[in-house]
Amino acid sequence: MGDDFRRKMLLSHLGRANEILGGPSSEYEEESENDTLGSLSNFQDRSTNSHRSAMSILKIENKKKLNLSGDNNEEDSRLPSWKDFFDNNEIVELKQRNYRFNTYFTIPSIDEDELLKMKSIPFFVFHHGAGSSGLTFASLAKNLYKRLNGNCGSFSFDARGHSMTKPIDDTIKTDYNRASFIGDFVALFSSFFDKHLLDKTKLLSKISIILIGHSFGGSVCTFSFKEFMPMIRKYIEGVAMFDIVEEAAILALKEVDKFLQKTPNVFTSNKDAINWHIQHGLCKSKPSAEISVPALFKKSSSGKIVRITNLKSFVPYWDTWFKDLSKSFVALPTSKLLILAGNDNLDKDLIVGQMRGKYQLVVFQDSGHFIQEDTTAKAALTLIDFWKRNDSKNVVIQTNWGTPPQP
Amino acid sequence: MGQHNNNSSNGSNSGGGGGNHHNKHIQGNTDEEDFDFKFSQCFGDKADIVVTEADIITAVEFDNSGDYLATGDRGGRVVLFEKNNESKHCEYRFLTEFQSHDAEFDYLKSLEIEEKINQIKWLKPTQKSHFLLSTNDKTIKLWKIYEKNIKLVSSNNHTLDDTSSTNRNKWKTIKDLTLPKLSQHDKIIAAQPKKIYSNAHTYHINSISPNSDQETFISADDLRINLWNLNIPDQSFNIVDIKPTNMEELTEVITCADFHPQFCNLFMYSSSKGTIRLCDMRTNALCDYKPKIFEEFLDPNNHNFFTEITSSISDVKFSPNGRYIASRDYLTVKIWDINMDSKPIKTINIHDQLKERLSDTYENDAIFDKFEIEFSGDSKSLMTGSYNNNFMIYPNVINNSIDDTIPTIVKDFNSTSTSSRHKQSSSSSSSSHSHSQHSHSHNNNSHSNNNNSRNNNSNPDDMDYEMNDIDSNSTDKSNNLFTNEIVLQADKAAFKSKRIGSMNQRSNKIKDWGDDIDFKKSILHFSWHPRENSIALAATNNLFIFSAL
Repeated sequence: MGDDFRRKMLLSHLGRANEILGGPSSEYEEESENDTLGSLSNFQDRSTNSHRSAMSILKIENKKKLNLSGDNNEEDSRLPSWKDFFDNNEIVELKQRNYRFNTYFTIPSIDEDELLKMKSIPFFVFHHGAGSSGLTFASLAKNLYKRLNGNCGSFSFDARGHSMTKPIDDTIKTDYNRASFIGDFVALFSSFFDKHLLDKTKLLSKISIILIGHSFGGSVCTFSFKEFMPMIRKYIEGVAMFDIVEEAAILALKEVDKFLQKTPNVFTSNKDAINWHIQHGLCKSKPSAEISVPALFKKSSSGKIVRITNLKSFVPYWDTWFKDLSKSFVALPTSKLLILAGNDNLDKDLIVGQMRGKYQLVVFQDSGHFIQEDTTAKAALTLIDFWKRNDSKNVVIQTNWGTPPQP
Repeated sequence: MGQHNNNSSNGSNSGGGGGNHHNKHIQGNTDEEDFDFKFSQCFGDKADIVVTEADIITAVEFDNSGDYLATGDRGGRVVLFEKNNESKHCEYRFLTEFQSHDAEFDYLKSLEIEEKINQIKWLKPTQKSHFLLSTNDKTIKLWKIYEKNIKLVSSNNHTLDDTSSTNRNKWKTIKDLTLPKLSQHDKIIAAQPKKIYSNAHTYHINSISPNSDQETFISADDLRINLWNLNIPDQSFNIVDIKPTNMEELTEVITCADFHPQFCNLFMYSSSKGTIRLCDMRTNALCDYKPKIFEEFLDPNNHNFFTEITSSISDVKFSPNGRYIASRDYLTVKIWDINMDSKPIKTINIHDQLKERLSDTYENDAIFDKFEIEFSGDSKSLMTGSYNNNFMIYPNVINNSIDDTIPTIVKDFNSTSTSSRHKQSSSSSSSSHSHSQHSHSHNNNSHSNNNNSRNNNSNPDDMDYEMNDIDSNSTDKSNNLFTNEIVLQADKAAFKSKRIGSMNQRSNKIKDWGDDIDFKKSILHFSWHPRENSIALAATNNLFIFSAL
């Protein structure tokens, strides 16, 4: 790989010379097509960013004879894919954010008559946490869909710096402070709303959007609420945060170095990575891990899988991430839900808020940090309840006045 | 032809015939023995059907004493070997292995960073530990290798008494309890990364070089060279930057950099255009200021389509005594005197047979292979690699080149004794042999004992004739006329102890590739023991050790 740069430079020079002179290199290429040099006949096209052909020959022989990576491919094909959880996978390019976002979503397709009978259709919008990916909510989305008989929508995406979301121009410096994530979230969902929901007026009249954020995603959702345009904001019925408490998060960040040291960034195969995550308690449910863990890794040329996100690159921005979270969450002018796992150590602002009944607190004892993956069913039920209870469209106020008394 | 001797692979040159022994006292013959490299050891999986890519060795380096040998592979592992000093032969045994680098992912560029070890350089050891720097494309790591005593519990309260139930009552009072005893159990060799120097290179690191001051080192990538302090991993100084403001105008990249072995302020770097720049860090912070440029002027008329690529220097090294620079480009090795930048003092054509095959090498990318060049510990000889698992040793080529005071010593193998007498009168101890104009000449040097028998038959007149011949040729600098070349093969063939023919006959046979060039079998990485004539080289996933001891 080291010579790629020199090689590319030299080849581009020769290529240019070629154009100018109509020169010798083209002759050589023609000759080689006619010649059959036995052992060199299966080298790759130079125009691709490839290793030396000898190395590629070794790789091809390796694959054929030992079928090593062949096995991996088979294993990988047995793993679930996003298609089992979402209807669509779209790459959305937002020039103003300098990012191409990888999004997953499902839009309920209900025919108009059915639609008229319904009062409200929830639309769940997810934001994942640091080091995670959009597919962490895959199991939850599927569960919600099943429970509501398809009468709900979901939207999840990879945030900047994660999984398959890529910068458009990699020379422009990327910021990982909270404001950037908020900007991305608002711009991305607004663009989605305009593109996919705006024209479905009948559906739109019934939609209730719920923002759900896990860990750092919860912080983004809380602060994004007021950034949404009023037109969209009026559809937002509630904000839910999964397993995030400001004080606890800041304390945990101090320990993150140790965590990062213990967490390997390279695994030999997706299967290995999944097993590791389960063994180390990062994920309690194998089916969830099977869809969410591979999304964090990319296959390298040597067959090993390498972690895409380097959590160390977020370190300089951590102090912006959770600042004033509890206060702001409690002050949100919408319905709020906080689901915590295991320990219910609230900080002062949250305790006060809870005592005043500002938000609903639910604690799952048997869940790990990834509530949406570990206890998917409970989380789904809780969210559905949350939607039903807080949705103004659901509420039917029985009044006695207005209707003439029956004789 | 003289009698043929079969030399065993382990023994030193056994006597060919009784009468030849006294010739060994003459300087010339001992030099020949000095370079009789024989296969000594091979590490690695010798089955050559399928090679796991991760096992391919990509770096080989002896430490400053020669007692330790380090190899790095494509899988990011470093394997260390230790010399068995009890054996009079050159013998190394496995010491330890550790995973130096692992694959990483550059999120912004969406590129994978390979774990392949590009270079290993040793630092001077302390009393108890050894240190080395290893680097992949982006990150350099300082490793400390030391012996660790493992202590295990040898006895505790359970073992002190019999565990039979009757004796359990022994523990009546707290005074009967004792602390567990630890004892030395084992010594293991442990490796620990002490410093990680990262995030300083946008392009791929091609070389690292520790300074003679043992406090700093440089790392070079395609366009920049950074100066580090070994103790400070998060900061480095940029001392060379050849990046053009407009990348479209890029014409030249840095290919290798090396610190001078004695002068801590001097370093050099080579480029893809065939130039070497010798820089002094004292002149300026950014060391591009009037460096000494070593470049050979090549007549543009002699340029061919591939000259731009083949003139790219793949490796450049200072001689251990600091007086010479050797550079390797695709087809030649050039030896430079550090004080003379106008032209090299010698150019050696490594594999002329490739000159006609350049178009093939361009098609299969072999033309971009980067071969290393190594000096011997005494700064007199050079070694480099080629294809078909061949590697070449040029014994005493340095002295040979610079001796202008004596008419260049001529010798064909028929007149070893007379010329060696000449040599005694000169200060140089080189053994040079005449070389006929043919590249496949059989008059190449011979190191076997066969030719000793002919020593006594030399005719002084013959010698004079040869001397005159050479005088007329002495102006021709860029040829192999006065260069010894030993060609060996790091292959299964080396295992065979039978050696047929003279050294130069074998060299020629090995070098006669014909149409059959195996470009996959390239000897790119190797190292020469700093104190003796032993070399370690990498042939894909195997490590070969050859020795003249």
